[in-house]
Amino acid sequence: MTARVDRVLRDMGLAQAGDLTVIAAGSPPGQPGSTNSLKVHRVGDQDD
Amino acid sequence: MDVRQLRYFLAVVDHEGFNRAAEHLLIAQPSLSQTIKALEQEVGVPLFHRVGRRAVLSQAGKELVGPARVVVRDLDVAKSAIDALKGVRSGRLDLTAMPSPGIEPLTSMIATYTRLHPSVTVSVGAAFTTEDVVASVRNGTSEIGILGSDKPFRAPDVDVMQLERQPLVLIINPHADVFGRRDAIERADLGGHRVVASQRGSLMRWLVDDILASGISVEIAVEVAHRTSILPLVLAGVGHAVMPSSWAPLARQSGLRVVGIKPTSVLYVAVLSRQADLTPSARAFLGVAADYAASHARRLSRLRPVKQVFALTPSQAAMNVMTLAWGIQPLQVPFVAHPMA
Repeated sequence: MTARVDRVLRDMGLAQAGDLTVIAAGSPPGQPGSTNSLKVHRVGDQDD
Repeated sequence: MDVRQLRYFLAVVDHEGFNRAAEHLLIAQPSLSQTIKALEQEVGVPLFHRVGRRAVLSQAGKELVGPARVVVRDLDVAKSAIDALKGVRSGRLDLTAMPSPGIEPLTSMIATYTRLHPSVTVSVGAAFTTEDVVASVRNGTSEIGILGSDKPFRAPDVDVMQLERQPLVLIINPHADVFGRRDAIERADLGGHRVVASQRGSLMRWLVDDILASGISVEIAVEVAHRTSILPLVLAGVGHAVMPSSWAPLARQSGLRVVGIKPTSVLYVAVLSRQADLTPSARAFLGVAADYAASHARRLSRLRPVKQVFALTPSQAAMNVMTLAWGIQPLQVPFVAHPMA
């Protein structure tokens, strides 16, 4: 998922390599209010 | 004789005089007197005896009170029935849902809906296949359908709102929990285990069959049509169960452990509706569903984030809602087969 977000943001020119992002996700989906994962991700890093 | 005359007549009776009746009706007293006079001319007898400033019902007036109340009340009932059709003040919402989406997201959406529209009675019918859900929406048995399928659902002549993806998870038999503390297991880890499975046709059964087909020896201990029997059977130690994640909260509340299964299979949940002529109660439900699809971003938005928030979603309904969410830039992305992998 991180790799997808990374690619979308870069493809659309919304972020460039080196930018710091916080990725919030609910996992598994299907449970409302389930933001249970937060990931600090540097755009361009292959850290998935 | 018209209903306005009857209303004025009853006002004079209930307020025991022309002055107070006119005040209550917010009209001038002479115009009230004229209306009553016209009514008396029409019926040919006086309805009131004027005694000083008071108005006392005549015998004919007394006879008119009962029937006049019936007419006015019936008309009020008729009007409120028409009003109810125009707005979501009362009424009924007929839904058809498949079992797993019928737990979640349906429960959350109904909870929101009944809070917003407490006078609408929600009726949820059952369907076991996507075809049955589509048929019920097409033939008008229900206005809204909720289904889960193994790929993003599409159908002609009905509106489809993509809502969410539910990964299939393993609900672990507490008597055979040999999986340690892992969050997810591999399919191969199920080798030699007994499972409780639904009948053929469901995605969760398909996954079990797929695991079997790949040469892993899973034993189907029980095959059960009632989804509601599955968790009790797991609790009783009959076997593990593969189910959509919508069942996970119930399973955890029962003290059962839930883990992911890799590679992940997902159930795509969608809301169907007729393309035209929806009742206000059904339109209101679609609004609740779109809010649900965008609920993650809406919660973030409420925090008034100072950093830019990008919200990725495949759902057009969620896009529409998030466009109006403070500080959120929605980005539409295509569906992917295995978002969790």
